[in-house]
Amino acid sequence: MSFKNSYFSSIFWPRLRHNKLAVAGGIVVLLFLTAALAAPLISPYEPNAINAWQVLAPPSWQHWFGTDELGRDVFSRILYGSRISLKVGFVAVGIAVFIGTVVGLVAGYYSGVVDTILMRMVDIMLCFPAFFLILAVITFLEPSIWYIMMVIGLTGWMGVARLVRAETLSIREMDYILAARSIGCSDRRIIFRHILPNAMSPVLVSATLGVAGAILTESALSFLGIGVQPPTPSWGNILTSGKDYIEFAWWLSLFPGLAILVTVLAYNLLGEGVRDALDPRVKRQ
Amino acid sequence: MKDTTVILSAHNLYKRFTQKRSPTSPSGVLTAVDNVNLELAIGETMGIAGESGCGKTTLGKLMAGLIQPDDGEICFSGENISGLSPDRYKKFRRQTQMIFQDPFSSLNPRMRIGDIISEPLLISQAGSAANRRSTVEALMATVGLRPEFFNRFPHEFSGGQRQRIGIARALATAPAVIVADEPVSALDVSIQAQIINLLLEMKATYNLSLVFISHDLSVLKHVCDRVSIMYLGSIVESAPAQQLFQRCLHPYTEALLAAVPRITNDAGPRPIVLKDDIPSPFAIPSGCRFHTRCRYAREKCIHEVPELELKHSDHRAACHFSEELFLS
Repeated sequence: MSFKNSYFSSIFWPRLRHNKLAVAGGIVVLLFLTAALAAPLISPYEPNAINAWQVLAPPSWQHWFGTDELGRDVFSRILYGSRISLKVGFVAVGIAVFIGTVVGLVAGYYSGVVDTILMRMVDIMLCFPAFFLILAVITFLEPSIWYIMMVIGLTGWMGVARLVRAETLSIREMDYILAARSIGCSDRRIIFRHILPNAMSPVLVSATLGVAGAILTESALSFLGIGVQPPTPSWGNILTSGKDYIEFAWWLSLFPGLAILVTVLAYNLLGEGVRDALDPRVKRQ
Repeated sequence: MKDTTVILSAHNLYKRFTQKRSPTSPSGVLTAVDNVNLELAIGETMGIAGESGCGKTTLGKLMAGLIQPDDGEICFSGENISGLSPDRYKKFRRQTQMIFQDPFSSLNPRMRIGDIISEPLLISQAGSAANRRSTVEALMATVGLRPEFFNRFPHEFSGGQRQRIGIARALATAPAVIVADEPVSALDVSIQAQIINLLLEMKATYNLSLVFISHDLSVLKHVCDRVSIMYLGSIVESAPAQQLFQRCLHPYTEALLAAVPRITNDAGPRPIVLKDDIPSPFAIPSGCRFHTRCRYAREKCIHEVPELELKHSDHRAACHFSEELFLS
């Protein structure tokens, strides 16, 4: 396989590289990913190690982001929290993209009754206020990170399904699909070999943006206390514990909040850059 | 001499498209192909000509088995294809391949050239991977593509080269019939001749039968053994190419022929400018479907449908007065 002359190297990559904001977003995303993966190596303290002598210590050289009400190092907790937040983001979006893509492909390719049924399902799913559905489900199930991922994924696939369906509808009319049919390709081969690769670009964009959304949802759930359960750190629950001390320990709220803000912003910038790079109508400056 | 065994034939073929009612347009039935009869002999090249929107492409897709007719039948080697089992039908479909008009939408932009051409072999599970690769490289050489192109993507090629790739893909199934749907109209004039010659070469090498759809009569004159002229979904005249270009029997053909640009000193026949646009295929005129634009039209043409009937040896036309008119 030569990567040298592929679509990505010759069109996509140069265009993305010219977009400074997207590159910045990409660098931040990579930085956070590395930090999350290398958390055990780079975190100065155990995230759950209690230190009674250093309760609510302000940021200092020993504790960059200060300590919390139990004397735990906030920097270490945010590092470990990023593992949870990013894991939730990726797995939830993975589930959403998988379901959405399959539904969209099938609806768009077969059209007719199948399309109508699947798209009405999408409409029905979109009627539920997703966040309250998640709240309701989580309160019935025990709050665990796996349930959270699944519920966020299962309530987030409709946008992807609509995108993929729209792409499929237009790709289906291309001559190369007729050609594939005429050389004897099965429906499955046409869908997965000819339509899917051509329908994925908008999905890539929505997945990148979706990661940001999923991280926000997880933070919100944890903030409300039904997400990731203490003592496991997550950006949301560090923020929660911070709110009780916000008058005299601002660092407890500021740093996890900043982490969420920067990550979500970075994913959004990257996602928009990817969208512009994939869109042939956007001219290169 | 030409073999006269019929390989592909159409009998009373109809294809209609229904348009659903929407706020902007009333519902209606568009008749794209209306009672078409055709016979293609082994080794023959048949041209189909007509204005845009007259149903040429739909007829081509029907002949290639890519869409189903609403009525009538298509026979391949004497067998009605609608009666075939799914398995046999798939085999038939591989026997007739299509070459598309737009070389930019006929190749999957995310597939490598080698993968595009070898896909038919992969599906029929012909030989090992190495075997297929050598077959594909041989095919690429025959259509004039360098074997180094194997790993390239379609966007790296010009229209002419893409059309060569399309031809190689069609040949990979070892077809008996190729339907070429305006294969050169999207190309530069200088490239057109190359692609036409390539098609003719391939036809001779592989003993193919060719259906050549075009709106360019000068191309058809050069390429075809027989030419059928289509108007609003029907064939109005069908004759051996030489005969048709010497003396046509239908006023529509006359107008088409007069519109072909030629380079001569003398004034020659003036182009006959047809009045109005082509009527809507949602409402095909009564009687002779051409009467609204025909400069010879008489009372009879408005009421009676002329049959496509034999006028001379092997020359059919659908006109009430073709014997009386002396068309240029």
